[in-house]
Amino acid sequence: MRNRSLTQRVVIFVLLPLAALLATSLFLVERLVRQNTVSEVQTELGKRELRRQQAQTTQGRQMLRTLQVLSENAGLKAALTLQRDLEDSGAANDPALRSTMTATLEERLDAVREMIDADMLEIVNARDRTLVRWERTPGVICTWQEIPINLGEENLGRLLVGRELDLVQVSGGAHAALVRDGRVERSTLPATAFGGLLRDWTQAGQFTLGGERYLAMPMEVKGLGASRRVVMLASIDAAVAPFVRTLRIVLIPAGVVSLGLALVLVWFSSRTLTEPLGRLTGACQESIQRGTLNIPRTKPSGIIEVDVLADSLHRAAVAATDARHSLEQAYLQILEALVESLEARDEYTAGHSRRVSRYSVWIGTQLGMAESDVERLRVGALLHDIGKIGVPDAVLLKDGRLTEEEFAAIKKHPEIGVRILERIGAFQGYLAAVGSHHENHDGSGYPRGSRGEAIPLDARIVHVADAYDAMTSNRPYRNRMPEDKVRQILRECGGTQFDPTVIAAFFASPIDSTSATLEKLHDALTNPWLPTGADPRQLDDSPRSGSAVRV
Amino acid sequence: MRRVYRLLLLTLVSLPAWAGDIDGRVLITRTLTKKRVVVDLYAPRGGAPAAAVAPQDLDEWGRTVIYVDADLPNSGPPSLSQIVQRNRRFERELLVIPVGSSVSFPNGDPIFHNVFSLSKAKSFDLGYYSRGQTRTVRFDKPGPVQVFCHLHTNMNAAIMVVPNPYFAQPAPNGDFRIANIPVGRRMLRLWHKSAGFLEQEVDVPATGSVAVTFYLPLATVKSVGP
Repeated sequence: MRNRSLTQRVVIFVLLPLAALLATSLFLVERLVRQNTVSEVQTELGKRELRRQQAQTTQGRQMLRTLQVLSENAGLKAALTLQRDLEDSGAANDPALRSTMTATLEERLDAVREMIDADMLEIVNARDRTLVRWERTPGVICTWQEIPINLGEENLGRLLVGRELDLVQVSGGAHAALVRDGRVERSTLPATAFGGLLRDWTQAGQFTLGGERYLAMPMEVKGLGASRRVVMLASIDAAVAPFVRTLRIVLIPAGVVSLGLALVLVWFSSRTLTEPLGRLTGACQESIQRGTLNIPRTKPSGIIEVDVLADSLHRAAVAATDARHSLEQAYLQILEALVESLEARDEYTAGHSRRVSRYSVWIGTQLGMAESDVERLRVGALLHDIGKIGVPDAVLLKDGRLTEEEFAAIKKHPEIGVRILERIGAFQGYLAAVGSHHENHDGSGYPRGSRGEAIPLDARIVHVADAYDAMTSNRPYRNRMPEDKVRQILRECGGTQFDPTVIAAFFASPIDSTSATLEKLHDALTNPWLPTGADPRQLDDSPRSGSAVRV
Repeated sequence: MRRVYRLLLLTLVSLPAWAGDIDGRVLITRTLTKKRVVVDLYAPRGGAPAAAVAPQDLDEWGRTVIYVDADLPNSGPPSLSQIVQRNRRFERELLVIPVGSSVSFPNGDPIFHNVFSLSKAKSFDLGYYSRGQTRTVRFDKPGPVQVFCHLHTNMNAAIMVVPNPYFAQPAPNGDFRIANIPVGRRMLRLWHKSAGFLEQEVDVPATGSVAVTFYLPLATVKSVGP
């Protein structure tokens, strides 16, 4: 199965089966109703047929009485005797006599017709030969009864009296069909509909006619002859229709309504799940984009599982963030320890990195840098001289003037610092401050000689802070310079050695005018108990001496 | 001379010229014959195969004969009458013939007919015969003869064999006249096919006529005299 949204799944796994279930139950109920109706119709037809048979027996008996009287017809008997005599004597071969005989019999039949309401009359002689026959309408299909005509002990023949078969009457108002040799000959249904329908009509059963389902039930109608048979027909569809209509009127809207209701409920319930999940997913995606694992605690969704998941994610994120933090902290602590050990080599540079970091943070804040940029700046500044680890002590700690080679060794420390840090992925942001903090604004710096905006801002800030600290600290080769002189030097070098914007930011504060401030700051920063966040320049200013900006 | 007168008178009386007439009238007081009734079995189902018979008065006069019941000379040669069978009927319902006459029964229908009678005056059975054929019967005894057909039990005709030629059948107004009856007291009989016999004694005058009235049916006749 392909991946689908929860809503899709719910629709597929809940709504579709529900719809299928409803449809199936409707189908089954309809089927059941149909079966019941079929058996009811069958019973009804059976009862009707039983009643009809009883009526048929009664009528038959009455009719037989009438016929009994009718058979005692002297004229008929005389005519039959005459016919027999003529036939026996061979006189019937005379066509004239024969036709006279037929006319005589027909006349007798007419007389009988006046005595009984019949649609068909027939006289059959003792040799089973039809002598005369009368039909009310040609081809009329009748049910007939017969009565023997006797003279003394002799049988002269039979009188057949037929009544037209009325299918509607026979079936008691239902539908019926007259079948001859398996084919429908006549029906109360449109006869054309039957077409070539051929089935075993002697058995009760169902058949389809014009798309409609019918029940056929053979009837025992007497006096139709061997080849003909009457079958009662009842439309099952017509009988079922009212039930089915009611069923559909009730069940289909109910099904649709419950499906709609289920849809709404499912949508809402899936929403209660997908919405908090969506929030969590959003938080995760944001974390992925930002590269920081930050999943805030979400408001309770009301679903225990989701809340547990959200809480777990939040905790996991917090734990992961904490772990990363502590890892980074561990790195930083190691690096700080390196910085410490580096600075411990030279008493003059003790606390220098920490102070530069502080000044840089100050400048960055003044420049309106974002908090995260300031943090990067802080660490970058702290590590800016880490490369001096690679500078031999003889050079680094040398009193007095440096030779060209020694100075070149000193100049390598930004690149060494970059090499140390670039291996740690999380420290990529610090490389700018470390690698370029000796680049000058006019391109006279090292190692690359970049200029102006090409020098990363972090590096430009650290450059100023480094210079300031260098000038306000004692060096083996000179004493700290007085604050005023430092300020003057820095201002003079703005635009050449330093970025004038950074210089301006460094002295932007009104407190800048008080010359003592930075010196106080410097001293305070050498003091580890200095509270962080305070303006480092609001500290006591002790006079220092210094000359060129040498860091 | 008296003997001569007496002889003359006797001669006059015995002479045929000494005969009177009977001018009679038959009054029918109520319906004598009920009309044949046909139940129309087919009417309720629409359509009647048998043509409806238009109601019409039966010819009661044709069914009546008045004759003088006396042994009087039957003058003239024997006559030959006929009753034709047509449309399953005897064409005449009543035929009056003097004794010694013959009647022929030609078959005018395209079917077989049979003529028979079981009456005292003459019983016969002419058998079955077809169209164009006829059988003749001679009637030698007076009296009514009822004629039937074996095949068609509806068919019936009466032949009244009267003893002498003094008979008459009423005219459409009921009047009848029997002329030249030898003078004397005579028994006058009326026979109606349905009502049967009525009789009255009548003094037939030597000359002129006597009036007679018959009231039909029988019940009312007895109390009525001439």
